[in-house]
Amino acid sequence: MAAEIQRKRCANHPERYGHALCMTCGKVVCQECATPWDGINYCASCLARRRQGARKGGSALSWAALAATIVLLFFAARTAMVWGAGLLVSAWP
Amino acid sequence: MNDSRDLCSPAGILDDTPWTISRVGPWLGALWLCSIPLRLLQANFFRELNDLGSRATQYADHLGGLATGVVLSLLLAVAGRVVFVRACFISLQSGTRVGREAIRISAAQYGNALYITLFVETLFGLSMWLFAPIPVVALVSCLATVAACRASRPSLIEPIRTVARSVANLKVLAALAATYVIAFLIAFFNIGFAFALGLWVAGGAGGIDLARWGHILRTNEFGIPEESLVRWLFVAGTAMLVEPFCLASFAAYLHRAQVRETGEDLRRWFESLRRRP
Repeated sequence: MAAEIQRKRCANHPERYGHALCMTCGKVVCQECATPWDGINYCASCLARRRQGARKGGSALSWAALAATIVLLFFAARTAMVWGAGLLVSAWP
Repeated sequence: MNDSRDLCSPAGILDDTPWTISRVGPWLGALWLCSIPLRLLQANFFRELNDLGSRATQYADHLGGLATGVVLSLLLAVAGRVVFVRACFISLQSGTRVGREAIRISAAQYGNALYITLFVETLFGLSMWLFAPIPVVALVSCLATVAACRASRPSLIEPIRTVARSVANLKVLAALAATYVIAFLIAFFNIGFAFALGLWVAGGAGGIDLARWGHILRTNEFGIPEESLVRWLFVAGTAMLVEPFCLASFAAYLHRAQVRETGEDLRRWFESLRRRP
């Protein structure tokens, strides 16, 4: 795999040989264009998108989905506990 | 830390666990303080269930009220768990004692952990009548909390994906699960033994009427307390004792899995080879 990448050319610098594969877009990039983050190589644009996403701390939609699920699960957990307790005493008297 | 190349071996993970806990001392106290309401309310719920027996179905509203208390107390318990797990991760990464930085948990970490805990709690409620899945669900709950703490953004999928990815290494998880089931049983009987020893020592001191305590703490032929409230309090106490070790083990497991995935272990290994004369 590494030898295969080194035979290919960098997506941003066609005069240079490849060094790594961006783990988000899959482009072959040279040593200068590859930046390891958390031990994984990214190209500059994918890294910028990732960092922006991390800084934002999630979209409003994902927060709303999480909050709604928590409220829903709150009632589900309570109901399941009572239901399970009922089954427990009838199954194991 | 263990230098073994087999990073995800159960023995290596269990070796890391006391090492990690010794560096997060104050946060262990925070975990226990936050867990006390949950464990007491759980003990009370199961004691009521035990006492009501087959009449429990007629008291669904009463049990529902107690279950609401249990689920509400999870809000505090999850906060304690997230802080403790964050402290474990910091300790595993830095190899040093963990200070106040452990308390700086993000809303996303707390939200994810609360969501996954409620999800597992629902599964627990649905499966508890079968008995057998209870230890599995309890261990998945610990693993899920640890996985949720790794996410930097609110996500419904990411914590489940991390748990699913971890479950792929079934042999390690089965070994950890077996260890903690055995640890739970040993801790349960040791708590009973500690109380019996305390009673015996207090009896030797004289001047104290221990007949009432002896009656409350009486056990059957298997060493299990006969009084239902005492029995469930022992279970709650055992869960509080085992929980930090279980969380620290899963934190060590996920940390080691990530180190192996990213090649960080190889980097450290080469560095140590280079340093050798």
